[in-house]
Amino acid sequence: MEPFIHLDHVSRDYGQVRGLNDVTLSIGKGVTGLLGPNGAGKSTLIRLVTGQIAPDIGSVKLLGETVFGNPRVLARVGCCPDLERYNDDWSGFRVVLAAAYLSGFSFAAAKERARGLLEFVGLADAMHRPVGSYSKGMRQRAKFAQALVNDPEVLILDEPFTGLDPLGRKDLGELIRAFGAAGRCVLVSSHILHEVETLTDQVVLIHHGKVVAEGKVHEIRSLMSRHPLKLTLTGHSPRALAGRLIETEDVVAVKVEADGVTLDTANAEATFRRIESLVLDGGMDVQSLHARDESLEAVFDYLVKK
Amino acid sequence: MAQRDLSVVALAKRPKPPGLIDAAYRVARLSPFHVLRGRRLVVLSFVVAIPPAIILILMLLGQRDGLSATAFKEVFDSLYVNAIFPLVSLFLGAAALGDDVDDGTVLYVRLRPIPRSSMVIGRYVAAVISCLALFLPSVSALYALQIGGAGSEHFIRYHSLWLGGICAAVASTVIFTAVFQLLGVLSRRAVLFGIIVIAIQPLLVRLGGGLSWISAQLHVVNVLSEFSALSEWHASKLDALDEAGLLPTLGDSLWGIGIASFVLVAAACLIFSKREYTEKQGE
Repeated sequence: MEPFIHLDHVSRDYGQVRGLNDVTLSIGKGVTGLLGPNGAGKSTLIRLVTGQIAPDIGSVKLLGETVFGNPRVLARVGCCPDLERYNDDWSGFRVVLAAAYLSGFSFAAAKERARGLLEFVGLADAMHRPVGSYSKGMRQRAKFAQALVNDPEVLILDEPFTGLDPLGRKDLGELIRAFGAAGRCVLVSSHILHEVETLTDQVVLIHHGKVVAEGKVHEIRSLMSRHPLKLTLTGHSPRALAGRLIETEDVVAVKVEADGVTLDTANAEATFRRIESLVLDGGMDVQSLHARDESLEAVFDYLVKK
Repeated sequence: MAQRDLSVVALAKRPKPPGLIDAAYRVARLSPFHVLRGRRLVVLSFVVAIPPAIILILMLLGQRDGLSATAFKEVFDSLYVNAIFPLVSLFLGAAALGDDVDDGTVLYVRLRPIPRSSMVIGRYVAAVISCLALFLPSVSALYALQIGGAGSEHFIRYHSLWLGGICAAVASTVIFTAVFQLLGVLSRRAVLFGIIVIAIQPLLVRLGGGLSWISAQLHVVNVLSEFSALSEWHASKLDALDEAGLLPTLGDSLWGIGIASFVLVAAACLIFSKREYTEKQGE
């Protein structure tokens, strides 16, 4: 069976900087994590796969066709780019309506589609508010809704969890898994192993523009265990939050900041679960959650040296 | 997400991607006044309100010298043709795609299954509509005040002046918006280059011989003169050409503006389709 996404000896430079270096890769159905530290080449790969840029050398095929400048392929692909900005005076409804209308729906059908998808992602009450007034998590949801307008066979998500609150992460994770289980191809880029681990066990590791490994998450997980993960949480009661988190077994250090908490954990998965339960059951206020990639960086250094 | 039922996302049949013209129409329909918002709307509305405001002030001060067909011609020539039409077209034409490119939101449109050229064409149409939404009320208000102010019989008698003004506004918008949209696609300094383009227009008219035909302003004045049926409109700028037998006919000017605009928009389409826009290169 032909892979959904296929890169054949692809290289791409930005002037003197090599963004991607002789990458050959095939991605099939289900969820695949694209892992790499910031600057590794993940966004370059995603831009190539979504046809935003063309390769200097090699070929990029999506659903068996060349993707650059090919609307036929884009009609079957949904993409959630790592871009914070919108036309901030547009409402979430207008953003998704525009995506649907430009995908070929009639104006009336596009309205209907936008309404349905915004309800689906949990923005029913906020859909007519300007995007400029949305929280980061709400923006991510709107961005996700616009990626779904054409019922994509291939869904490409560039750092989809960035800035999402714990509940939003859980919801989005479930949705991504459901897409993968439905036989579609989902490519999720992230610099956080734990995020990807909750979605799939299939990962591609990219570093310095090269694919350094492909395989199962648990193999990488064992390498990760010796490197603590640093998390930053923002919320209105940082001291109370810190007090609850320090009780968690694997948390090795907690620092209270002006608008949140920074912590080091030896077991990311357990800590994420703990944070989730603090929000869901303990009523703690967590506005956003960021994981930093020092640990993954260390693993990549190890893999490259190996 | 409120629910996990993927049937909400599933489509019985995926819509066919729109073709070039359909997609351009869709782009224009989604953003007819895309470039005309915020501070830009306020500033440009103020700019186009200046000529009628001057006449209104003169009327309020009891100065009736400015209320005549000749005075209308002078105000129109010096303010609209030389400055307001090209300047407003510059800001709106350059922003037609430049805004999206600058803030990165062009990516959302480029991810949709439409020909990339359709975005250029759609935004060009939207920018032209935005310009005319500013120009037509302004020109009409100037005519109503300056000609109508001289007496109701003048209002009827000189209606061709209004027609000429409107046609000149359309001609100027069509060509200058195409020029400045192309500059917006080519460079992030489109406004600077655009000001140079505007500044050299009178010089081009004075080049003499066939070379003056490359001046967009020459053709705008020609359209104005022909539609307003006011032959003395030629006097200041076009006499030399007239004497040399090189004055373009109305047909020449209309064809010239049409073909030049088509070529400029086509060039913008070609460049925009090939060009890559990335927000964080190298990542």
